[in-house]
Amino acid sequence: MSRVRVMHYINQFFAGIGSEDKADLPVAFREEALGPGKGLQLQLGESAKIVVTVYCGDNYFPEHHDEALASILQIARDQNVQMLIAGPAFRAGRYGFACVEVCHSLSTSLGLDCVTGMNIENPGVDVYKQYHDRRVFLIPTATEITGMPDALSRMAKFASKLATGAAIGSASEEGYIPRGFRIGEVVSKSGVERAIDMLLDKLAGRPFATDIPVESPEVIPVPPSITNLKDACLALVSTGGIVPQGNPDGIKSAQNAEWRKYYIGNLDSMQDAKWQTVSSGYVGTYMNVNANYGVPLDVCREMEKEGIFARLYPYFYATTGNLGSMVVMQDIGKEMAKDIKAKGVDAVLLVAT
Amino acid sequence: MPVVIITAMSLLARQLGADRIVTGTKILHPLGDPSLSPHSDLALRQEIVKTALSALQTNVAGPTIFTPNTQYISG
Repeated sequence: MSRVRVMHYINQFFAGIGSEDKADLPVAFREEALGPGKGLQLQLGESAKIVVTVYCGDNYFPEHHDEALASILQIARDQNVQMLIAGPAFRAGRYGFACVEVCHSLSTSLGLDCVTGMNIENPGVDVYKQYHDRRVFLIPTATEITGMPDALSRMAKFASKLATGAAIGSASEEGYIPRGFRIGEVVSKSGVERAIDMLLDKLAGRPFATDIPVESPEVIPVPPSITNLKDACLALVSTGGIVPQGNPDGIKSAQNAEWRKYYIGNLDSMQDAKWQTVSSGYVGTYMNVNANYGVPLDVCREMEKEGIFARLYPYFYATTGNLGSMVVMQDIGKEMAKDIKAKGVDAVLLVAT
Repeated sequence: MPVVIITAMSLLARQLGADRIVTGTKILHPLGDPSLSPHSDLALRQEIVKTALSALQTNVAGPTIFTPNTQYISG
């Protein structure tokens, strides 16, 4: 039986090209396993062969989304790829997003089975659930790169099973994150018996597993538009880690749990004072020189003077979003919103790097 | 209260449910382009903010991406 031909997708860092300084690397490929792909190949054994490694910069991918996917699709066709393995991306948000996008594209356009891996908090997981492609499977991993051996082992094991053509069971049996499909199966106990067993367990305080988990995502209604901009007060919010030079409040470069407001009421441009970015999620070369790129004060101040809107709230709200925990970021958002509403603001411009 | 998010990662913002999204220039500089002349850089930033203000004044049914009217979006 010939080995299944695998494309491995990784980013510029795992391909050994560079770190944030090389995040603008265009799509490239080599006809061999690279970086973690070597460990992946060892785990895959004879079940599959990594015939090509495609790698791309973490910034290049979202900034050139369509062209990047077109290039990767063509490489898959040229190399007669039969399966895609992407990542593992752990906590890296741009990388996780790219992995899921590449999986979705190759699955939809070429009908390939795709396996990817990342931490459950990675934004890519939400995108994966939204797409719910039948033949794309996301294996949850640790947050840190120290979890690489375990991630590779589980991704390879799953990929090997896919390679045999064996039927894939439920998410809880196979270890992938569920996509929301209901899979029927025959079991020995009738529904009545299972329901009564569950109720007895629940009443006794014992653990039980529901047949049908019901997820109710929080539905946030679309806020109505501003009807009279001339009377409106606008506020600026930034997740790019922009802080006064010297970072007096010690805002963290990643996994931040705090936010601050910084006074801009006496400034006509961010370049009228000294700022820096503390985020380790992107290279601060441009932002450090001109923070208007992340807090568009120069333009907003001019528009305020021209009367396009009534007032720019004299503080901007600042935090670092890089590698933020979903729950913590939601709390920060809620706290900021509470303050913003209390200050008579009518609308918000949020800039995310 | 409407919020508009300006980001180069507009597709991700849409997937995650942000209702009003403006595509920013690049991850490193969402509002403007340091490789342009200062005058053009400022003009680009003005165009992106104008698009954002327009989004705030537009009724949307769900996640919607507003694209600034400039040839430079990704480069």
